Amino acid sequence: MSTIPREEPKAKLSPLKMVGDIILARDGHLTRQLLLEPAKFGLGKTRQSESPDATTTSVCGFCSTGCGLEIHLKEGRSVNLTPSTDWPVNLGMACPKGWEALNVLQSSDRATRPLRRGASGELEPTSWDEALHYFCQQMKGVQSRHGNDAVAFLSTGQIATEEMAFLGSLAKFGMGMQHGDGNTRQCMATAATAYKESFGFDAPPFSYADFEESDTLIFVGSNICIAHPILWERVLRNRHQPEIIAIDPRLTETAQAATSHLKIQPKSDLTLLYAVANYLIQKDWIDREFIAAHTNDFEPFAQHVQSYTIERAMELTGLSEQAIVELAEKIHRGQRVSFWWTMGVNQSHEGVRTAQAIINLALMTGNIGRPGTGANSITGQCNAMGSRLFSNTTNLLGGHSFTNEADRQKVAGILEIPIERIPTENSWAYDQIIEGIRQEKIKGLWVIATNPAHSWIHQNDLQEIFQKLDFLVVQDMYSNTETAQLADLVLPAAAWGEKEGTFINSERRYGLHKKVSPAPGEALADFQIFRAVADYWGCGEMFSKWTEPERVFETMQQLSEGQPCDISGIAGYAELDDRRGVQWPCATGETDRSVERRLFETGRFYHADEKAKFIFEDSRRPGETADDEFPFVLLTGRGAAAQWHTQTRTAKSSVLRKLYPNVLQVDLHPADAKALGIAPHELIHVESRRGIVQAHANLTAAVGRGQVFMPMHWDTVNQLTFAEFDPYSRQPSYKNAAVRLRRRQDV
Amino acid sequence: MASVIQKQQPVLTDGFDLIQSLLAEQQDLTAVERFSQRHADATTPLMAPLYRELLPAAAPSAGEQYAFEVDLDACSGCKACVVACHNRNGLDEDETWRSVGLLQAEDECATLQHVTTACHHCADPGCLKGCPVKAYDKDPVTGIVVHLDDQCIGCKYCTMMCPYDVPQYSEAKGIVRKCDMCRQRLDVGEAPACVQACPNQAIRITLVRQEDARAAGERGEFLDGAAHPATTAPTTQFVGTARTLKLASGDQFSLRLNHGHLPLVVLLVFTQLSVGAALAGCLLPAQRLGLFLLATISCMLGLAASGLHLGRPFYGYRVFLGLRTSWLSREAVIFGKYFPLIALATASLWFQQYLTFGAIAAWLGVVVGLVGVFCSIMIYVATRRPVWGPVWTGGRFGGTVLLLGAAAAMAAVSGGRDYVIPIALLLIMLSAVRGYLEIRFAAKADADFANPFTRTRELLLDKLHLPTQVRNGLWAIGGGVLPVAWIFASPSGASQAIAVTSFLLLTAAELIDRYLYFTSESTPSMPGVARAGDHG
Repeated sequence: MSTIPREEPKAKLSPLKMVGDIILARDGHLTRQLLLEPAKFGLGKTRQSESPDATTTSVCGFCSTGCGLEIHLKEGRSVNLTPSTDWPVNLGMACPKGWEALNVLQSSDRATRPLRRGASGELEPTSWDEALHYFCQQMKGVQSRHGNDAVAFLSTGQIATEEMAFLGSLAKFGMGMQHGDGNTRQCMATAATAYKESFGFDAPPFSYADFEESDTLIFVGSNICIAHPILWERVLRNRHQPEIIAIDPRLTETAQAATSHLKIQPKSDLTLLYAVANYLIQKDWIDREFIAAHTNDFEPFAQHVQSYTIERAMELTGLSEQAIVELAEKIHRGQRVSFWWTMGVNQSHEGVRTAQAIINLALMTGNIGRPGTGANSITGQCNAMGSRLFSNTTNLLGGHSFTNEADRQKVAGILEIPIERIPTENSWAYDQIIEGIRQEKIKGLWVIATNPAHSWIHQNDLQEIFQKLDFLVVQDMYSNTETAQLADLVLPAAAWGEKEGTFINSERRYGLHKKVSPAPGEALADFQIFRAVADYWGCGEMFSKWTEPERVFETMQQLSEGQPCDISGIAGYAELDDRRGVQWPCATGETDRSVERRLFETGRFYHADEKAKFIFEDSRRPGETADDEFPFVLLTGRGAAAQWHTQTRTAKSSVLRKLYPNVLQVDLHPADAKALGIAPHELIHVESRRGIVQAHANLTAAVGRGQVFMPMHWDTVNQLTFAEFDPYSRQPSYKNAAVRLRRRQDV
Repeated sequence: MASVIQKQQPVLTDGFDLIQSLLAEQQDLTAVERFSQRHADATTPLMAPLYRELLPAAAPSAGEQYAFEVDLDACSGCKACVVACHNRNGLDEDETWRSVGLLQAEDECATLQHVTTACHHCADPGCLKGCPVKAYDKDPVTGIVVHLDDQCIGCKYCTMMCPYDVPQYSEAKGIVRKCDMCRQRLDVGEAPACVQACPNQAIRITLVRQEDARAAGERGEFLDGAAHPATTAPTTQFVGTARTLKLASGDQFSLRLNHGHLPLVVLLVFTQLSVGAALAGCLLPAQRLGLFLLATISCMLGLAASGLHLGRPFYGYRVFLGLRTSWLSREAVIFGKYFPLIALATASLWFQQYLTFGAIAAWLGVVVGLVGVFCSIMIYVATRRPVWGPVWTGGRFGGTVLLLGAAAAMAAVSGGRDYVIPIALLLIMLSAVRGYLEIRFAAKADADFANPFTRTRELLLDKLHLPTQVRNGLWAIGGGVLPVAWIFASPSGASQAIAVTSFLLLTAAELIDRYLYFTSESTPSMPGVARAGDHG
């Protein structure tokens, strides 16, 4: 391999060459635009005009994979990025979103000044000073009229852990709010609840190395190829010729790439998993030693699943006996069986029990705590894991409990605040906050880096409910999100790349993202906005130590001490950077500095008796099912790897926009289309009891008969979804609405 | 929503300063200096160990070349390759050299196949053959098809000659650009950006014998949903189980209008009108001056329009360079000869010298002009796009020469009694032949959306319905109703108005027809994703 710079010949001004160039120009300014030159820092050939003078690693701010991105810097500012080769997550790769992470910052619709809804009803620019006065006046006004808990906040999995901790502390301890939740409720609440109940703490046990070390990988409701493309990279690095089983109602990219696909009927997963458990028990293909030593409640579980026969599962799932038995056999045969789930499980009316059915399979077969095993939830957003620990919404900071006095004492002590400032009751969940607005119990709402007017289930209802608010504040990097358009006040936020802090990825790895680009206009980092709000609110003193994110990180370390998520042993941001991220736990005195570590290697779980718990419940029908009037089941989910959630960022890249259909499509089985007389690509009406959406019919047997699929990134899709929630996690069930299809001429 | 505030809340007096300091802090990027500098002395690319096995061990030997190999089983549709190529090559904001399309089973067999694709670095590249200015090179060693950006005049002919829609035209730059397989990287042993960026190692560089590529092309072996490989012998090797299935492109049913190329519409119709009028002028001595003047002026119009078509018209003089292979070069050079001849013939009439040299110039001009029209036809026939086949393009372009020539003759002889019946009948007959060709053309369509004729018919019936109806109406009136009326009106004063109207309506019909010729062309190139909106 040579990297000898090829000197470009200096342009000679000989008359002969000039004449030659006029006829045949092999060089010139257009050619030079694409000239590459060897770059330092091991980057290989790079564009001449973007040759960096330094690089630094930053963790990507889209999904929970947590890829390292090498930011190319020129005079201290980012000029480009490439995926980091030595980041233990992505090993030199990134998905389209990561590659475009810097470019979406340059969009012309960035929020650059605070905007206040004026007398004309339009959002008008105002100063930060005015905006913050207005914010405090309005919020305090609501509180004085309706009580402190009439103001709530909706946070996000997209900001730094330190910012989440600041927001949660400011809102609850400083401003006296009782209720706050995050958009992580929409993606991860089920996994968090399931783990907490089963293991005693919300602790995804795996490391990405497990993708490579497993001999049997079972993906339940996870289109990892599209939702987490870089984790699929890790699966393909597996050298054990693994069995890869995809359990999904759709033929997804993952199902296509798997060694077998169990195309089950929607919402039949819990029954299938119980039937498999039953079969394993009948065959005595279980690890009785592990069960006895490390778990509780196996016997009642075994009894419970007795009624889940193969026949019962066949009827509900639509699978053959052979398919179900083979699944059990593969679990039995595998030496290192790993189970992976994502939104297909989490976004369900019985998601927690389904996740726990997966956990139960791992526990009963002893597939946990060893390389290549585990019951593993792959998280969604870049910092969903941070939100689960430090957003101060569902849990008190650091995985503590609001209802536990000792926990409150500890937190009050570390934060040096009066314990009375800490609420003694749990916050309402997202759906309860929305319901609170409907019932006019909540009159002021602060929305940070999320877009509920697009993403919340049964969207028309939410937009109507928001009209009942006295005061809606939206803090976002774009001023034109669907939610910002409803706001009374928009606070312009700096974005990923314009601020610093930590994210925690799916495998519990803390990684640092850094400030490498100037924020546009007067946009401020969320962290700085929280500092300013604290100051204007009059509680700045309470947070006077939190002058920069790393100070909050230090507080987080203190808070984590003695918890399963202990990070007190990390020597600050510098170590996070040097060690290429650090997985929790990393307690003071921790000597294991391995790059990849998994939990439960000693079989000790986090319940008081250190045992995991079998948790189960009968499967039940969802609140809405297909019927004569609405005969199809609508599934929703990710469209393309280039699309992120409500598309506020990814739609800003013209390259990313080329990578997915620019029309809303509804995937429909060809036989169903034929029966309805629907032609390919025909624009049809998709109707639920809640709304009507137009979409182009995409005829594909990737979806089953009687099912249709629509990508969630289109702003209209949630007009159709049916608002039902898992009773334990309060997570919305986005993948289950009854719809009908009508040709436009028949409407 | 916001309600009226009851009372002003106390605020810290230093609030304003705080904001200023926060804003200042926000713009300060020095935080990054706190972290260690990694890889400062790396001398080889850090990615090298990851892609080494994805490059051929040896350079191509004689008859071989580099080619992309795509493992369809490994391509999971993440599309990182597209963005990595865009990023690492520093392309314009909306410029992409690679794309990922979707293939789906059309029947009830559930299959989903993403396909990553870029330039196929064909053994017989159409772009290179068509380029009128030699702005394409095929590297004699690597076989990489390279576009010479500074040589390009922006004629966009390569975008038609390439069956795979590879060259991308930039309005801002006035040139096309395309994938060069990252030859600057390959030169030093680095892998192309897409090869480096694929998380699944689905893209590699391999060696292909050009004879094998040609043979596979002849056998039609390439990829479902793609243009037929016989035209250019693409070298990309698609491997994987999906090859065994019958699949259709994900954008098969989302038909989009192609570029209208208005300057080309004007160029074609007016040069053809010019040749037709010149021919009529040769045959009709009494009306010769008028017809030659018409021929001269419309030729000027056509040639002027051709300049507007170029992205970099100042470099248009290079157009002769491609004479050996490019019909576009030939057309440009031939019409460059035609114009002075027909202008000379016109001038000879003015100076009463027709019989000394004008007649020779005129007849020579007509012959050269017909050769020029033939070149125009071949420009499009050479693309081997089925709807631009010899019959259809020849019928259209030749039809324009004769139809507008006859219409011009009709206008010219109006007011007299000579030739009325023959000219009118000729015009009616020519119009009928045009109509008949349209019916034959439409009959090539069926229910298969992979059939280019079906796609064109669908566009003509749907998005192009209005212009199609207008064209048909103009043909019927200008070439049917008015000639009949003309017979009865001749030689009254009204006949002149009728004839001129007929000529204008038919000229308009031909302009619309040429617009439809371009916009309704929709031959499948490579698998895509469903899209609305139109090209260009």
